[in-house]
Amino acid sequence: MDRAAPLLEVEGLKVEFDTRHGVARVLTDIGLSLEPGETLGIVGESGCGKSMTALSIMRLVPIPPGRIGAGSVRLKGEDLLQASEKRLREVRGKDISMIFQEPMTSLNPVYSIGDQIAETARLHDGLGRRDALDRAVEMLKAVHIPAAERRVREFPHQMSGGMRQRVMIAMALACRPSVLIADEPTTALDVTVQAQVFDLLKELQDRTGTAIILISHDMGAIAEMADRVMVMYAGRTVEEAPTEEILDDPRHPYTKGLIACVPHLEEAPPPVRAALTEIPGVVPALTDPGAGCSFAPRCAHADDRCRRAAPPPRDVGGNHRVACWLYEGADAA
Amino acid sequence: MSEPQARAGARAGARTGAAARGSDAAPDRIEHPFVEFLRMYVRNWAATAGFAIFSVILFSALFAPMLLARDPFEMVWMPFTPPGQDGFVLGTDNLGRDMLTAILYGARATLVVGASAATLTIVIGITIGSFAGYYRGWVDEVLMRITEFFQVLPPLLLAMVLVALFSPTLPTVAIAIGVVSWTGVARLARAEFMRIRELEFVKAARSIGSRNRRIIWRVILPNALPPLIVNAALTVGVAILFEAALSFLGLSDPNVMSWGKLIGDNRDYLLDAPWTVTIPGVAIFLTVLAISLIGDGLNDAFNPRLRER
Repeated sequence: MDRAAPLLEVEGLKVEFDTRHGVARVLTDIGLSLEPGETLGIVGESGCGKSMTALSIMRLVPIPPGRIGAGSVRLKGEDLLQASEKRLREVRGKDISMIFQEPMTSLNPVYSIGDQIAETARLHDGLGRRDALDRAVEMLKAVHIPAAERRVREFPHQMSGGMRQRVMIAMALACRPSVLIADEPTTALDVTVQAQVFDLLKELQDRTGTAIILISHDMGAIAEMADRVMVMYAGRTVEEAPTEEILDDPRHPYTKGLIACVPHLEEAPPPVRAALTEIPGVVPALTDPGAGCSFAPRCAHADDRCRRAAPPPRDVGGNHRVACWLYEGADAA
Repeated sequence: MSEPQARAGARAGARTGAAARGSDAAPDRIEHPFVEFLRMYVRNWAATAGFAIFSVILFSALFAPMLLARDPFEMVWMPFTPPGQDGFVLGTDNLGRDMLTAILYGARATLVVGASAATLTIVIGITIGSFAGYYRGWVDEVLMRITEFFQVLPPLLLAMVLVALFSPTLPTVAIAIGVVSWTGVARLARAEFMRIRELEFVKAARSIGSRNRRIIWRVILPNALPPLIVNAALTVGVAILFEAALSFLGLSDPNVMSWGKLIGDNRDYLLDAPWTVTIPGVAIFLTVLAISLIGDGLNDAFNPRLRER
């Protein structure tokens, strides 16, 4: 597919952490690209590198013990990994924003929510106190918080989890960033509130054209929100495809496992309920990855070659890329 | 609230819709943090008593010239007049100076030195501790070795050397006390910074482009303050004792009346005229006690775990 430079393009990203047990390869050769207004879902189990990918894009990886070993993160052509700290501070919050998993701890308890939303605007748009507070009220209205004029003076402990996550979204979007990274934005919320937050994100995306990177371990959430899905395992991308494609035709055994893990209420005939499937085993230690495919120890299809060498990602048609020996030769066909 | 109740609440909230949920939270019932703090403080009767005692001492120190317009150094009557005799409520000392006047004016020096030494302690301690706790790594190593160096020095001896080296004036005394007592605050601030820097709102502040300076002073510090304020209050008490010890040893400003100086001047007459030593001693004791009670009350009021609702 022929196209101009994407909004955000990550190539060959490699992140390592020095630990007591040696060097942990947290991310290996991660690549992704994002167009304006697009939503990219990143799925995987805990510890597979989803959050680390997000933090690396904003260069918020704690260094040391972390280290960005190789690769590039280009925002509108500018490599953020080479940018100065000063330039990065301009980018954070202005071009790329992030919302976090825990709405209970991601707001500062000693400042009113209005001050916290206004902060983004004051830092980047150089607004004065009053103008910034007006912006905060405007943003609270945009995230559908009722009585925004009064609420703007309230403190985080006066709000529910869902409200706080809305405030976080307002804070992240106060300067209309072109990329929003949502790191498990609904994991800590209950189901009805989850749906509201997703609706809100979609609505704001339609209105502002912000591209979203949605990180989740919940296939259901990804299916609802994302245009494209990237499946990560042990710090590598194992499969990447448009959402429908990946749901209808998952190729990698890990992706198949993830999708099978989602319970389907309508498919369960009352007397014979199929047991919920799970993927046996756990994510391997990143300090000792071994030579082969990192999923091999948990994979039903693994053979000797899987244990010997890691499969390179290959195109299997329809914008669908998968890193698995099962599809060797598929690109020739 | 138990979990099933919470779930039921969430479901009810979802049904009533967005507009109703705003009023559901009923912000009117939630106290302003400061009001809540006051309520918690007043509930502790000892702390309230401490505050009352301290207020009386502070008031008499502030308005000493209006209460008794006299020179505390002036010899007004026979030496060693016992309290209550010849119209001297607290008697006179070895030079025939009025004890009541000396106590009133002495409170000023004592409180000023106490407060400024405590301020210095807090400023040095927070600065060193916050940088060490925030930056970690080699900054932490260097700052903590410096802190340990000051910790192993005998504080009274170091303060004496400092005062003896420079002039024995009140500012020198305050600085000497500050220099020897900041280490505890530094370690406390460091621990708080190390805890808070890992919290998500610090990451969030960085993700909107805040610089380190801002994160340290505006984001983390306000959250680290409660234990530091408690510590500051207790430091005032310690500083007052220090000042008393230094002036007892004759290492304070001879031209300024203070409680420690009164005790020092009269220590040889302890058996003949016990009131000359015990009265300033009681004054020091009451002040430090009041400050400790206040510190304790602040601690209880700041600590949500000690609250019974």
